[in-house]
Amino acid sequence: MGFMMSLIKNKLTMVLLIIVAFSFAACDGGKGDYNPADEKVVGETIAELTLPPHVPAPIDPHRAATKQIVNMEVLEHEGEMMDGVTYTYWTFGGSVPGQFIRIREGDEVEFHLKNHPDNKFAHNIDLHAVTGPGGGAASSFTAPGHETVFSFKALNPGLYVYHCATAPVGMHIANGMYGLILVEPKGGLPKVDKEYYVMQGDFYTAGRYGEAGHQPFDMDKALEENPDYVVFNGSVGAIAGDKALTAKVGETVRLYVGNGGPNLVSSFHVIGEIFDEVSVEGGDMINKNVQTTLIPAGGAAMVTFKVEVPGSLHLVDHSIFRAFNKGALGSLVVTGDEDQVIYSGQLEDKVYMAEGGRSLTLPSAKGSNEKLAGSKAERIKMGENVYKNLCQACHQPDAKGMKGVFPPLAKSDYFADDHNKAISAIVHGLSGKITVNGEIYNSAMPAQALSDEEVANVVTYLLNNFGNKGGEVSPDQVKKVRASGSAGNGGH
Amino acid sequence: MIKKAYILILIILLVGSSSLIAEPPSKIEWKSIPSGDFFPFFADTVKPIKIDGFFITETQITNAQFLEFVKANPKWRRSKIKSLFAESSYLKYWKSDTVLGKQAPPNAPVVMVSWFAASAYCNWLGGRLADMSEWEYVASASKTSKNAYNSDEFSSTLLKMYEKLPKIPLPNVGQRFKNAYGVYDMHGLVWEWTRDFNSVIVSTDSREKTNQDGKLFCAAGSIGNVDPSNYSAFVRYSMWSSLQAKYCIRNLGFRCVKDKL
Repeated sequence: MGFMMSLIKNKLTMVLLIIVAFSFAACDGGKGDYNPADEKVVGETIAELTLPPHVPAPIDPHRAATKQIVNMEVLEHEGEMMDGVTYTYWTFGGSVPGQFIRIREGDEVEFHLKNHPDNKFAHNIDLHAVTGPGGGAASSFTAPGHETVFSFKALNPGLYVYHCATAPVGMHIANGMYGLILVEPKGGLPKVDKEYYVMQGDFYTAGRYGEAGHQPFDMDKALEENPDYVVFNGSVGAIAGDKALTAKVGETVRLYVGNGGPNLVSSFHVIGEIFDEVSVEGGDMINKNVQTTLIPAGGAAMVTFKVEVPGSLHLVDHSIFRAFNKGALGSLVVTGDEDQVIYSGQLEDKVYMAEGGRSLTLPSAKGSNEKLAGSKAERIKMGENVYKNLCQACHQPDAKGMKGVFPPLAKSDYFADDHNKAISAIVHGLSGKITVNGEIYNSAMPAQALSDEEVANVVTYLLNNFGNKGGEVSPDQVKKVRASGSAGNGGH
Repeated sequence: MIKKAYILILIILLVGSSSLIAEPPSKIEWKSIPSGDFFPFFADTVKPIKIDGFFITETQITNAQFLEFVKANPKWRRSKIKSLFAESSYLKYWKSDTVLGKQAPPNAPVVMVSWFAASAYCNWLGGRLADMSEWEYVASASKTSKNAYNSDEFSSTLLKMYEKLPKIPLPNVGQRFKNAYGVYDMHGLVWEWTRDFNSVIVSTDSREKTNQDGKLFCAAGSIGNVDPSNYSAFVRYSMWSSLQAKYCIRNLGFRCVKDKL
């Protein structure tokens, strides 16, 4: 009897131990037992929504699953695609991409979609984070001046695209109706210092890239998947110049990157950085040490990297014509102390002669065989070739540059009264903050390997084109500037 | 004699306030639309729908015209209408029950009217709202051609007009787009109610083809329609399918049709 008792007691102890062990595992956040569908929702709050490039603050890892009320308003309004070009955007919350939504798995979202009474079209929303018909689209079809409500439980953590799914779907998306919703895993994401929201989209306008005035949507170009604009955050230069993203040396940056499409797939790359970690397609898989990550239309990724040295990092779609000719270009400006071990900056610039022989410094590179301009007209003509071969890749064929990134050479007030400033930028390079036509540029142009004659030609070409005031520069003047100084550092 | 005159006036007044006998406004112009074939945008087949000839109002019904209706039919006044028949925003741009005010110019199309109110008005005129296929039949006329339905250029022009729909206070009817039938503003002024606005495409998610009824077609992105590049038609059908009969919307008005006897 005593034996039996002790056996039963032991069994009880065992059972208790097992129960205790299991509950510890649960407290540890052991994923094995956790099912977000079963997590009880405690209380309710109005979800904080942010405009790009900002994201709401990370969720407290100890916060219980909550009912999150999301109020999102659809607005159709005219906005600027680039300087002098306007477009009628259709937006979730007033911006392209739409407001960023941040919740955690297990949360219950009560989604209020409000279609502004001034809007002309019906809209709905499909959130890829929703498990259910149409991702919510089936329950959120909303006429102008109306509001619809539906709710869903966040079952899968990850970074998801949302978009309008009203016919014609392509047109609604092409007009800017997309954004991101982040569903944090229970316990949160690893902590970082800076977080930003960037989303690529392609736009189809009646006029080609840069054509001034109001540009309506072009259905034919959209069907042919031939966009005029490929941009980050809805417009050319939306995250460049004084709107560039910022970070300090030593900080870890996480970018929530989405691609609204409607058509193109993005080869997302940050010039001068390597992604330490990428959550592939916004899901659980982590890839390390990535140069370029593919972001499908209607997809997203989280990229994380530590910035080690100061300077401007450029965000591009590495389908590179999109970056330099259609606007898919943004900047992350890193400030702080140099670390010359990690990156030295340019140490030398000299001619490399494959045949051997002495190294030459640049000015005499063309030697005595160089064809010299016989007249001002010829100088301009020869300068045009130099411009087309070398300069226009960045400063653009119309010399208007790219706002916030490449300063304009057209009607430029930077060198209007002092041609030597133009010469110096070419022969010595130019870096640091300058102001051109009222716009601040903080970037770097390398010294160009051109002869005195070629520099004189191209500067003379510039002075006599693109709305500049005219004039002529001689090779002798270039020679003097070249001899007189070193790389310019800003214009002040 | 004086007494007789009083009685006469009294009779006129009584008759005038009765909705049964009150005369509809005289200035409504009807345009004759001939019979013909209409190829519906949403269909499994390319079989045409036979359209019998009808009359259609030359323009959308204006604020002034609708005002006569509510004066004659008090139950359709803003303060009287049953909430079942219209949202609380019914006729909200009017100054009061029977005064238009600045936001509602007399010759601008009446908006913020429910389907019920629009239907009642057309019935009062001795007509009805157009069926969607009748409406689209008239709307497929460009300025020069009675059937521009399959013209990409026309569709593209319409999309641009839709982007620029005017705001409150709306401009007058009959001044903008006149089509080959002589009918004004089928596009580019306000959207319009139709009798069967919610009957053809019922799916609220535009990308699926509903399997509830093989003969009904949703606003599918790629299936269930004859011409997926006809974006302007997608826009109209989307708008219609987002509506409910009591809705009152800033850029939604109506016009009427009458059958040919």
